[in-house]
Amino acid sequence: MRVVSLVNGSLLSEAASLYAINYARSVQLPLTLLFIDNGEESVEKLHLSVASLKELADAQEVEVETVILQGDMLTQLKHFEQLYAIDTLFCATRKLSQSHSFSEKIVRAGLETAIAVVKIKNLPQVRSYHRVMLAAGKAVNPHAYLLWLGLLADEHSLGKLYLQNSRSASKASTKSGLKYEAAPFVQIAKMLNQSVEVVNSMQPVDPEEINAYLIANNLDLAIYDANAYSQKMLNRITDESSVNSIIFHPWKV
Amino acid sequence: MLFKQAPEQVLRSLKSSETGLSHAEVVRRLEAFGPNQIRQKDKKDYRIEYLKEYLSFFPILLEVAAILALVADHYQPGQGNDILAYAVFGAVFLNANFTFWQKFKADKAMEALLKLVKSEAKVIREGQVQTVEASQIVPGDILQLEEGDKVAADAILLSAHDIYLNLSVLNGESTPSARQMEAGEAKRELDAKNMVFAGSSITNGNGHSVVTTTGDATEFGKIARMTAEVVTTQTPIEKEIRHMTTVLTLLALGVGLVFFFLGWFSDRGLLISAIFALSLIVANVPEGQLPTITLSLSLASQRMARRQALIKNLNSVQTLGSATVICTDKTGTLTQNEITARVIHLADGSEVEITGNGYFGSGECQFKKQTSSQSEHRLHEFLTVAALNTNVSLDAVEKKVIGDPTEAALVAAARKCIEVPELEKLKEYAFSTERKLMSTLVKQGDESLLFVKGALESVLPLCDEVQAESIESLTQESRQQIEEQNRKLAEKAYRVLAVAKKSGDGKDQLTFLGLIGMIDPPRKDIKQAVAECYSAHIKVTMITGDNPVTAKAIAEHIGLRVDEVLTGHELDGLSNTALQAKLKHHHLLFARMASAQKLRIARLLQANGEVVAMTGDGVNDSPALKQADIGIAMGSGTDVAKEAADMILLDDNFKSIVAAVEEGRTVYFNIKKLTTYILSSNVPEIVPYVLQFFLKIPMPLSVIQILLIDLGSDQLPGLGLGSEKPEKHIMQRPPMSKDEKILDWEVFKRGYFMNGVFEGLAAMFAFLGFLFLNGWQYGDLSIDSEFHRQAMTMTLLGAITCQMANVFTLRSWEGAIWQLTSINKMIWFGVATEALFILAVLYVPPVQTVFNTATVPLENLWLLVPFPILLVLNHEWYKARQRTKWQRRPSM
Repeated sequence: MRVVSLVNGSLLSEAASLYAINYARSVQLPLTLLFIDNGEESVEKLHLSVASLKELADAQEVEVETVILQGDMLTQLKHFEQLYAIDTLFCATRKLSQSHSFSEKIVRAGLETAIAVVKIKNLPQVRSYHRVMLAAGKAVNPHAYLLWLGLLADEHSLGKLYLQNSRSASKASTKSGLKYEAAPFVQIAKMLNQSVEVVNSMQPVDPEEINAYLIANNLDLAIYDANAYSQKMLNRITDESSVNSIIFHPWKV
Repeated sequence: MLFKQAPEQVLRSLKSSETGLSHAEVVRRLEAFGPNQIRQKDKKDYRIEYLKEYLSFFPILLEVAAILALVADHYQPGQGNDILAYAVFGAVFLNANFTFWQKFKADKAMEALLKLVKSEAKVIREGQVQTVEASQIVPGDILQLEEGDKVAADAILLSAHDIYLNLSVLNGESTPSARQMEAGEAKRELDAKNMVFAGSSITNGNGHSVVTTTGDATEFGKIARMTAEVVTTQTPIEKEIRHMTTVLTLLALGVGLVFFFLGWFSDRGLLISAIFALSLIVANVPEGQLPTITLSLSLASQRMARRQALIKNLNSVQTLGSATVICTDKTGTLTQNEITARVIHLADGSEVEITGNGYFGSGECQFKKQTSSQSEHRLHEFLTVAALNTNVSLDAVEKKVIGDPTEAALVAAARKCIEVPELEKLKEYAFSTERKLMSTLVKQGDESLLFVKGALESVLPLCDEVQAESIESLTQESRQQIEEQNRKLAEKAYRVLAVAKKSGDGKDQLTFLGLIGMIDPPRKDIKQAVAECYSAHIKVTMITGDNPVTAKAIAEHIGLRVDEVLTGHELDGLSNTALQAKLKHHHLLFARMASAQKLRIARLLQANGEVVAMTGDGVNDSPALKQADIGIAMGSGTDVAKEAADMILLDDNFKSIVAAVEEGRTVYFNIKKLTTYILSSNVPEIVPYVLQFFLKIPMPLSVIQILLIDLGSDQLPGLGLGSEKPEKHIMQRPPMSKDEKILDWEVFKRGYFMNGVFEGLAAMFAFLGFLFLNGWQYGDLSIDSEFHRQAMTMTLLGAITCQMANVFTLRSWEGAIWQLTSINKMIWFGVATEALFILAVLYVPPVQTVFNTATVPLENLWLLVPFPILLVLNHEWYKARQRTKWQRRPSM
């Protein structure tokens, strides 16, 4: 198994790879920096970026290899994914809204791997993040949880587990239900000496509300489980946000 | 953390270089990070906004009525129900378009204003210095920083020369903060000394920096986003319009239903009863009211703009009229924001007065007390030291000051009185909050001189000599005298600076030269504006960051009532209950206040039932501006404050707030007048139907004629009433209570039961009079169609002529018609249009076809004369009686 980060020498792909390095370190997997040369990107820039990333990965004792493939991006990616087992594929998205973006094509390509689409809004916070939120919807996905915990573990940060269930808002038992849902995950975090808070929202999903929550709580990174929210909603939340975000698409068997 | 890295490392992390980004990279980053601007509220989708005009309660009611008319026409064709349906649809269409257009225009006016305040920044891209729009800056851009610049984004310094940053928009601290190349002990960006932040401004120095974050991700952006969290409440006018619409519509529905059932049970048939009820509903619903109110508010906001108050939201106009407390800043609002040196106390005991206001005004130095022949020389020396020990630039051509306003006052004072010599500056020791003084080393001939200025408590301990007639030792007694002079000046609201110098003769101690007192003079006519507020029963509360002594002195000077002065520190020590009680019973003055404390004051005032108008200019003021019933941003303030506010003061002047309050009150009464006017014409529209139901008479008025009055002849005169100028005593009455409704009993009484009754009588008198004069017998329902149309025309004209008189008597809600001195052109234009309407329905055949009218013999038109006269006489008599009652009331 390996963690893969798609790179092209750009500022954004480098920033996304920094999260990949932190995650790879936590889950103790090697990191592959994958560049698919389709003739559009500068190889010179790539080498500079890879050198910088290797330096950072070495400092964190993360094993790094660089793979350069040539040809159509999706075809090569599928080919690579068939040859190697991938834990999570990190890719940055440049478009403010993901629709018609390359990251969207990757998500829809049916790859047998989890995909973390990184949207950067605040560059300084990529290198230094302390408060990370996982917006998990009404149930916590273990792989999304792993990514969140992995990114937390690296910086000894505070984690916020944001659970949401508006449908049963009128039922008093829902709140305790949500807490029950979170309980084993909180226990795991405690066992790993991670500081975790659970937030139960009984309101319908509202991008304004989530973004206001991120700012009011001084959060540096938000991870969204893509299965818990609609794509349209996620686009609105992350487009309007001033905080870096990772939209995590768990692999559905 | 990025700000802890070395500059070259920061550049590498951001994939930038000293020569900046390439244009292609800027485009890519702009796409990724978006424009460098604070995200405004979601842009309105005007298609949806337009549709909403058809989907609110009022239009839906009319649409249902029109559909019912079409159904009726389907079952009973040829009864004119199709024309009614199309006319009602037309009314809804006109109404929707008109209201939408007004809102659209108001939005566009605001957008245009925001475009005017767009800022620019200097960046280095591809090795070239370029000036770009601040919104086009991206992370990695190299930003050039110069004195006077507003910083466009959060950035880490790459080079810095004596940079001082004014961070007041972010933390409320007005003292400039020194920047350096090291981050210091900072744990978060806002504390990093090697960073500059969006929204802040460079008060001194220059340098380069690399942009790290833009737009909403900046510290400035985060505060701006927090502002959006404060919930805004419905304005009184919104509640009022809703209340009015509901009451009138329910009334219309109620009357319609009563007659529907009456008709049905009296065997008139379901369909006829339904059509009859429908006609009554149409007659009762004041179709023209909403556009007239909207336009009236729009006209008021235009008048306010001419008085330097720009209203962002039309509905806020009337809120101003209800304001019971104005919480105002001092600097720039009550004062001129041009610190002016007024008095110099030289160390030899001489006193000098400096005349003239502002940085660029003319003036001179006049000795009030001259103790020796050397005094003029001493004054020259004093002003030279004061003016050269500054770091400010005064551009007399553009009337622009770059640098600290206090220093500008010193330079301006020197320029008024002496020819300031040019001396070479060797070194400058900038002002710091710790030292509370500034010094400059200059070269005069071969000699090096140190010029020092600062707070007396900082300067005096460094002095051992005083420049009296000759240089003398500073004794304990003379120290006490100087301190006493300083205290007296401070008590008179002067900002006092001590001036000293040191010759380069190896001495350590300074020679004390004297004190200079400066003041930010109150604005012209401010005393009168404050007095006007008190006579209008409005409390004025000053909330300032300045010290309590200066604030109180200014307050007393401009006639502000102050029972107690509270500082920010004291405020924090008070519980909400205690502060609420103080706010209720005392005239408070708040000094040394941070912007964040304004929010608490606004909330507690509101909890006391006050309608609060609050001024502000910084980003930190935004939550308070949103919380207040009416937030007032300064024209010179930040975009965020302007976005949060309901009104923008283009000239920052308190007088403009008072003018806006006057306009707000005027709007309140104007809406009362025009509502009464509209309700009055409902009576002659309803009465004929009711009478026709109970008596054996032909139908006196058709539905299309009702619509002609509501949407035609009433519109322009109604608008005229909406644009009436302020009445004479409008600022001598208490503010309207929050619970006071526009549609109160007084409006109903005057509209329906007073003027309306006369109009109803006029209409029926004209109708029945015409019928009887022309040989009609009571009970004859099978009259000739032409004769019927002539009679209906008389009913219509009866109503219109009464409305022509009604509009004049309603021009003043309380005063007599003959006491009005102004001419309302809109009303005259409206009345002239009504006269044209009358001629058209009498003589123009196509108009007659559409509106079901006919030419009436001239000899019958006298029937229209008596009731308009009676209406005016009765209403004037009523107002006179009301005035007598009010005069007998104890004064407030």
